Formats: sequence, C-alpha cells, structure tokens
Amino acid sequence: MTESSKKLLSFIAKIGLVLILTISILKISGELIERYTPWQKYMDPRERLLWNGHYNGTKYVLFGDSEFSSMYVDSPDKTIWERFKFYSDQDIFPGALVGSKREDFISAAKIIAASWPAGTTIFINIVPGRFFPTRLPQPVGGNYDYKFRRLILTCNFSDDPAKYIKNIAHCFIGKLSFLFKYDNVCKNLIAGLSTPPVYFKINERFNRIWNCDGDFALNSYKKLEENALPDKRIKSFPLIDQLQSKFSGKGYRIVFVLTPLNRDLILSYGSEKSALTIFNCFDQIHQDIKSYLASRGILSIDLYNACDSECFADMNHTNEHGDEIVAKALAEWIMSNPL
Amino acid sequence: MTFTSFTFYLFLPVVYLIFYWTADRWRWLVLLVASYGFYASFKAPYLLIVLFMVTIISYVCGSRIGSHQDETGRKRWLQIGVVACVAILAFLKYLPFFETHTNTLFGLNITLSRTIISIGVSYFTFQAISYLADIYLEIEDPEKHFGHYALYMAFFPKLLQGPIERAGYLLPQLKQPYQFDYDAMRSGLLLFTWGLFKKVVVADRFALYADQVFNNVHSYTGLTLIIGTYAYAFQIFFDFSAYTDMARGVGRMFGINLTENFNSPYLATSIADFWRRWHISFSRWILDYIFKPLQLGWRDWGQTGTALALLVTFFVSGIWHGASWGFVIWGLLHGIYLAASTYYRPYQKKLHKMFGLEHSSWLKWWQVLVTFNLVSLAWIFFRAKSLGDAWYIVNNIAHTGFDYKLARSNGIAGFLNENLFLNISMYDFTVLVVVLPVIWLLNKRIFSVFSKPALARWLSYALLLAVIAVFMCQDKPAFVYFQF
Repeated sequence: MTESSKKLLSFIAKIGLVLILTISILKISGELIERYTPWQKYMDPRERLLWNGHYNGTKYVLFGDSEFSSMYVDSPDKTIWERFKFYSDQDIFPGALVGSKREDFISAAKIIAASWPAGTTIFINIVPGRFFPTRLPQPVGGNYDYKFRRLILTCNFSDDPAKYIKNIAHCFIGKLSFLFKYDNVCKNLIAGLSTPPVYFKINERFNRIWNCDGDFALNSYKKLEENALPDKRIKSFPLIDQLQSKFSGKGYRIVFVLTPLNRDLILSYGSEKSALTIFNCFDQIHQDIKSYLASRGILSIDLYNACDSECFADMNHTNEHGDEIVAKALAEWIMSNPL
Repeated sequence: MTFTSFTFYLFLPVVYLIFYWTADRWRWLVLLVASYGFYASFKAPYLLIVLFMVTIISYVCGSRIGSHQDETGRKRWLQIGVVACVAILAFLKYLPFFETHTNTLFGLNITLSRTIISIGVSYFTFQAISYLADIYLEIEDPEKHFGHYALYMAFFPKLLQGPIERAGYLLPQLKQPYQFDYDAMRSGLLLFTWGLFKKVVVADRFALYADQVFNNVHSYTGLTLIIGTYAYAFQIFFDFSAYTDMARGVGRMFGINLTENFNSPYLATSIADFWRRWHISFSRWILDYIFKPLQLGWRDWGQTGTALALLVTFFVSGIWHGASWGFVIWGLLHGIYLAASTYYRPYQKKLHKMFGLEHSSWLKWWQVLVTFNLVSLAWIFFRAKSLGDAWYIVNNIAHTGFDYKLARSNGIAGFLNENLFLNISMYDFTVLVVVLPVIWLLNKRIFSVFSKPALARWLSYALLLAVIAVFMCQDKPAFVYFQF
C-alpha cells in the first residue's frame, strides 16, 4: 500500500470516528431530552399514535381518521376519548389520525399491532365518504408517509426496492436519536418555553355548526359534488379486509363504527338532482358496508343516522355535540359487550 | 442532484474514489464524466447538449482566434464565438418572455418554456466568453486538449452557480497531477460542511420570513416589510455564499482551488466596495469584459463616460439575471448608485477630511449601514414577484416605517408577535438568534479549529454535524442563484 493510500484510509477512518462521535452526541442529547423534559406536554394530542403509539395499559383504542380525532371541539375535555372516559370510566387510546388514507391506516395498524396485547378492543371508524367514489387525487403513500417512515417499515422490498432501502435509512435515522423520531419535538419544546403550541380552537378547527359558521362546509361539499362519480359502484372493501387480517391475527376485538352522515347538508347544499344522487350513493355504500361486515362476521356499530343536523361541523365531521353522541354510543357498546 | 440532496452524498465519495484510483492521465476523464453525469441528474437532456455546444463553439473559436495572425480574422472569430454563446444564453433565458408576448400577440398557447430550465447555463456561457476574450487579448493561449477544456467548462462543483473561473486560473490546476493532500481534504470537507450549515440551518430559515412577506406583500405594512426585506438580504447572502463554500470545499478535495466569491459583503462601506465583496467572480467578469471596454470607448467623455459605462454595465448585469423588470431595475439601481458616486465621491472625501472623520469608526459603521440599506432597497426589486409588489413595499416602508400607533394599540408583545415573528415559530427565531453570532465569530476563522487540541477539534466537527442534523429546516428551498 502506498503512503498516499494509507493517508486516505486514515482520513476515511477519521471521518468514521467523527460520525460515531456525532451519533453519540445525538443519541445522548436525545435521551436527555426524552427523559428530562416535558416534551409530551407540547405534542399534538391528535397525533398521539405518531409520538407515543406504545401500549399504555388501556384496553380500548380509537383507530381511524378525522371523525375519531375530534377536530371540531374547543378543548381537550370535549374530545371523544375524554367523553368516552366520562361515560365508561375507562381509558381509550386516541390512535386516529386526521386525514388518514389507506396507506396511513395500514401503517397505523402496524404500530398498534407492535405493542398492544391480545384482547384489546379497537374501534375503527368508517366515515360515509371513505368509500365514496370521486375523481379527487389521493396522496401517494398517504398523508403521513414521511412521519411513519421514521417509525416503521412502511413498504416491502418486493413492491419497490429503492423505496424500501430509503425506508430502512429513515427507520435507522428514527432509531438513531429521539430527536429524529418524531417531527417537531425540539420545535415544540423551544416554542413551548414562551408560548405553548395550541391544538384546539384554531383556524377552521373549532366547535362549529355546518350552516352557521361561514362557507367552510359548503365549499367542501361543492368540491365533493364536482368530483363525485356516483354511478361508479364499489364492489369490495379491501381496506376493511386488510385491517381485519392485520388485527385479527393478534387476537384483538375489532369493531367497525359507521359514523354519522349530515343528510340535511346534502339536501340543503346540493342541487335537487345531484343531492338525490349523492344521497342515494351514500345510502347504497352504507348498506353495502353493513352487508359486507355482516357477511364476514365482523362487529360493527351503526351510527350512520345517529346524529341530527346541529351535531355536524360539515358533511362527515361531528362537532362537540356530535362527538358526545359518538362517545356515549361507544361507551354503551362496551358496557353491553364486555370483554 | 444538488449539494444538499441525499444522492450527492453517495455521488461524491464514489466519484472521489474512482478519481483517486485512476491514473493521472485519465483523471480529467473521470471528472468530465462525473460532471456531465451530475448535470444529467436534472433530467433535462437539452442542458447537456447546450453545455456541449457552448464548449465546442468556444473551443473552436478559441483555436481559430489563436491561429489567426491578422486582427480582422481574430476579431471575426471572437465575434462569432461571443454572439453564438450570447444567443444560446438569451434563447434559454428569454424564451419565457418571448413566449408570453407571442402568445398574447397572436392568441397562441405555446408552453415550451414551462419545460425549459436553464440551471448553470449563464455561468458556463460567461466562462466561455471570458476564455474567448482572454485569447483575443492575448492574456491566454488557446487550450489544445479538448478534454481539459471541456472539464474547465463543466467541472461539477462550479457548474451550477459558479464561481465563474478564468481559464488562466482553473485550466492549469485541472492539468496538474493529483497528490492526496490530507490538509486539503480536511479543509475541503470542513468548508463543505460549513456551507451546508449556512444553507440548511440559516439561509432556509431566513427564507421562511422572506417568502412569507414577498409571497403576499399586500398583507403587510411598515416594519414587517422592512424585516422581510432584511430577511431576504440575509437569505440570499447565506444561500449563495453557502453554495460557494460547498463548491470550494468539493473543489479542494479534488485538488482544485476555486475562487472565493464573497468577502463579508454587508460590511462594505460603499456600493463600489460591496461589488468588490459580493459575487466576486461575476463582478470581476462584468468589470473586465463589459465595463472596461465601455469605459475605454467612452474615455473622451471623462467622468460622464465612466458613469454611463457603469450604468450600462449594471443594466446588462440585471438583464443577465433574467427577463424581468425587477432584475432590470435592480441592475439599474446599482448602476445609478455607482454612477452617482463617481460625481460625489471627491466631495465626500473632502468633507470627511474637513471634519476630521477620515479614520472615524463611527463614520465607517454609518457607511456600512447606509450601504446595506441601499443594497437591501435594490433587493426588493430583485425578489418581489412583480413591479407592483416591489413598489408597494418601497412606498409602504417610506410612508409607514415603524407604526407607533399600531404598536401602542396592540401592546409591544402583540405588535412584535404580529410584525416580527409573523407566523414563524419561536423555535426558528431562537435558532437564528443563537446561530448568527456563531457565524459572525467563525465565518472567517473556521480553519482556526485545525490549530486546536484534538479533543476540541473533534468535538467541533461532531457538534457542527449534530447541529445541521437537528436544526436543518424541514422545508428545503432550492439555492436562490440556481435560476440564473
């Protein structure tokens, strides 16, 4: 080996050592922050699954998307999970994520399945719009792809080797230090020193009623109406099958909750013809899902018609009043269906 | 692939190791292939063709200038080369402008320019022109080895954003046999990492402020617009100087010293001083190849000729940045500043002497402040989305400034929250407040770490990497000067 090659090797070795030293600094500082700072206080409770999705002793899990995330309440004590506790005296883990897509559901299921014990009851919400056929584009990889990549392997080697390798690198970075595991830990912690981040009653997200507080509900309905493909019939529900297979192998009790639809909004905002078409389409999908679940012997709670019009913030999402009804229904269900 | 992309961190070591294990006589080929590969990563094959065309044109014209003994022939080949290079550059730069006007005039819907990007073209075109001019002026001999010349044009660290290197400086370095130099590698890597820090931790954070204000100027008034303008001034400086540091760092690893492009420009005491410190390779280029010939041509007009030459030079500099009135006005403003200074400079000196202020540090800092504000004023036109936006900012700052009434009615905390922090989190603000003094202290002294004891040295390296990893901005805007 030449003198120059020796020098190069020594240089590369030193780079390696600097990297090890860097990793050690990141690891130690991450540990210190995780253990000795109140970081959890500043995290978004609606993303609990992402920053602390480990088993916490509860026997019940709320799983799904925005309908189970209590988007339209003014304070934490009005959330579905807090109201559920009020009615049942049982804790429930808030594992739903706002805006979850199919891929997010699958990744979230992997996190729950990783630590929750057999016998856990998992309430999975199915909003009426979940299977409504539209031409609206869906985000590739879901809305939480980046965040999930730091926590778990979200794809298979056989699907896309390059993505898989990148995912492994992300997982490694996530495991490398607490600082990289969850987004915004440092940001929230430093911001929290002066003004703690606010997660309730911000922008559009407050305890609103669909026909009173601006055009928010109208706009989202119009978007759906413009992009609706009501003639397209949904024949199968692969997401239900995927979640069922993911969870049932772990010995969980799975309960699909068919959440309410704001029928008055459709009648009020839709043109006469389109309202009826959309209305029928929702009803048809609802019936199809019910039959589908029944044919497979899957437990379900049907809240499709459980709320009247003032319980809604828009077409699918309930406000404080609606969340109260949903939480009460879940609490009653567990009391009449004990483990 | 850019210097901040993950792919680059795989590309660089692979290229280096191949370069290292290759015999000296073929190393230029490794770097040339790597440079074209680097350029190809932008997935715009026509860019490779443009680079190759400019290389061929300038190489052939350079050889012809060198081989002709008569002035007419030499001048003709210079003109052919320069016109061809400028035509290519103008086509790519001004295509969107012509397209928009053609569409409006003839009611067409041509969208060719939407798929066209011109990353790096300005830089290598200017380099080609300087090569031709230097041969014509007999400063340089034409390069005989086409491979070496092609590498001079395409060398990947400086391909996208310069520095614009002169043939006399870069070509001999590219021909030199490579010897592994531990110190050069170490300093190169440190310079690259320092640049990365400036880009992802500092410049991108200033961009949060600047983008918020400039993307929606009519929502803001007074102090917010001033802060947005200063934020952009710092964003563009940190962004561009970061790129230069990274380019110079990579160059050093391959045994090449690239020109330093920035020398604390915001500490300049006059606009002329600013242009000696800002984008140095570009300002030297316009000085040598535009200003000096013009000044020479108009020397009979005395001071007026010089002022006019400055005005035209900076007008061209504005046009070089792109087909936008904002760039033109930015260039003209700098031209006006400099042209005016040719008239008032002698009186200013006399005045300072009369009051005994020549060596006063107060005067120096006052001049720094004035220069910085004049430069920032010009940046408004450079950054604003339209002339209307720019005018709104200037007009509003002039009429509102610090709004005492608003401050009193909102209370200081509320006022600062709305005007200083905007929607930027306390976190980003804190990071900037903490890192800026560090940069102020270390920017000129980063290599002093090599003289520190081993433990301090190693901890410094590791801390720098850790800070980058933890505090890098989540949103990663592209380098500002890529578009030029």
